[in-house]
Amino acid sequence: MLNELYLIVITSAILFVLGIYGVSTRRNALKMLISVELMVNASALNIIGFLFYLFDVAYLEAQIFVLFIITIAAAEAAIGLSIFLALYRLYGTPDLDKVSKLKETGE
Amino acid sequence: MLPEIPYFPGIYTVILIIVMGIIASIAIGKRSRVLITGVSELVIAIAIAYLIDLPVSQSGYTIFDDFSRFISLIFLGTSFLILISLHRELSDVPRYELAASLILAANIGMIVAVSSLNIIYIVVGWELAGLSSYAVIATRRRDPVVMEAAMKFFIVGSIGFGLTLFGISFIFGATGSLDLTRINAVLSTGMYDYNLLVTGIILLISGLGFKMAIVPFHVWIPDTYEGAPYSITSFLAAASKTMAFAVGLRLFYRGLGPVSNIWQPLFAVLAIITMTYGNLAALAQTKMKRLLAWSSIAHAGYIILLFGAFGPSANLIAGGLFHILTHAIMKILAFIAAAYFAFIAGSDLITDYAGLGKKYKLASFFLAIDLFSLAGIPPLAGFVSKYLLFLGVVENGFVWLALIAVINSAISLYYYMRILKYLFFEEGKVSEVEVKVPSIYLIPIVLTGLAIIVLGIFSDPLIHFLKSISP
Repeated sequence: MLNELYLIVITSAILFVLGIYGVSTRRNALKMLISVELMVNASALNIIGFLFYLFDVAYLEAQIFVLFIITIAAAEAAIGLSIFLALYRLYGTPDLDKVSKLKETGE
Repeated sequence: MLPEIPYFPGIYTVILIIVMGIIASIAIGKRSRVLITGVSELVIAIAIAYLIDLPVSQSGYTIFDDFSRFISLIFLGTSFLILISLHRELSDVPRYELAASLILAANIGMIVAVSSLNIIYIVVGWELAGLSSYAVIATRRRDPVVMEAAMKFFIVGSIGFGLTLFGISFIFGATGSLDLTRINAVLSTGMYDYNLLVTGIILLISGLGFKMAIVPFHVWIPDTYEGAPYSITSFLAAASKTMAFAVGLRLFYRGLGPVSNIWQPLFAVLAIITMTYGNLAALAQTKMKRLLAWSSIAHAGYIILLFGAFGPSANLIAGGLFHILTHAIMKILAFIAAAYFAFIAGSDLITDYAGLGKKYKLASFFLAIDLFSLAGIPPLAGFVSKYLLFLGVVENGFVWLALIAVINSAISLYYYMRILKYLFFEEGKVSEVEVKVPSIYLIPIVLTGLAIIVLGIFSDPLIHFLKSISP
């Protein structure tokens, strides 16, 4: 029983680390968005895993929380896509490395 | 006693009023920009009146206590002040109604986040505020710099949200509850999985750190603050950051209070790094907005002493909350004054401020007051709050932390005074062309400037009120 929980926690940890890795190394706007979604969904999986194996499944608040997380992730993707679309119109490329007018200058 | 709205207990009244404002400003649409600002200001004024009037109550999952009243008043007060200058600043944006309604929507999110003890509400409110602030920067979508700021803010905001959620999932795994009171009860009994909890707390701190602008997670702050329009920058610095601190206070004081031995040392180290790095990096800045962004990071370092010097002292909480308030007021004034001078000088460079102090006396006077207050010179509000905060740190036995904070305060004096040197004591090139001054910016500048003076001299009633608050 607990071994299965370990599997789930490890899976979500791998998903999460993939997400962090993707955000920090990919420079393509869409790949970044996908990585962010991975991070958010890893936590949803984690919560469901803990709820199923450690606690009472009838604790509905946790299930509702996961539904909310999925909804928020969708809203976040919508906002992100619109920001990236506007950027694409301005710069003509989905490569975010080209978008760097704001930099540390200093003396 | 204001009239009660049936079926809407407690905080829902305020939310309903703000929702009406959003609907009204979208309905007005492109017809009249002045009307949109007027309606939004009216709605915020009514909401503030209701917030002051509402009795302490608890219904369902929401709780309305003096803590949420105080913090929500900071949000609404900030929005009230910045909408005045936003109206002028976004005059090139065709869909101004979206900016106004997004600011109102962010307010709803922030108020929800600080008036519940349930993590679901906190996360949903947090993300409503976050998404609205990404979008409100992006309203000026033809400007590449603004869009770059929005993009950076969105990416780090989402990473922060992902980290926060992952941390919460581990805390849920350790305690089996999403209610802060129950989490506290479980942690007090000691029946929890230690490893899961520590993982969760570390992830949660890094997630919150992105919004709070703590140092390893601060990289987006200077870029976003520089790129965003001035009024929206002051909204981010004042309201958005206040929400992060308030949510942090709720989570760590209410929920994770019994295990303070895990998170207190982490925050102490982060506070030292943040204030030192923020102040040192601010020394080298040449642009006003970037300097203020770094000073904002340094102030975040002072404010997280609330967590880093956790203890029984009442002065610590009162001082921390007071400093959250004064930081919000000072940052509104600083950024709007920066907008005012940038409009006159035509650039954001501090060297271009030379000689402006003699010509634009009112704004320069209040900017000077604000910079003295940021540096912590008595008798201004920034000094009183900082003094109270450091006093609380010492009372909890962290003398060395307070010492580092005081040294940092002294360092910060240098770069604030450099602005004043250019403003008052340097001869600038006299501009031949008469600039049309945006006098409407003077309204928020004067109001916040007077607030800094008044809160500094007559601070006793507020401190008395703050000492009665428990986060």
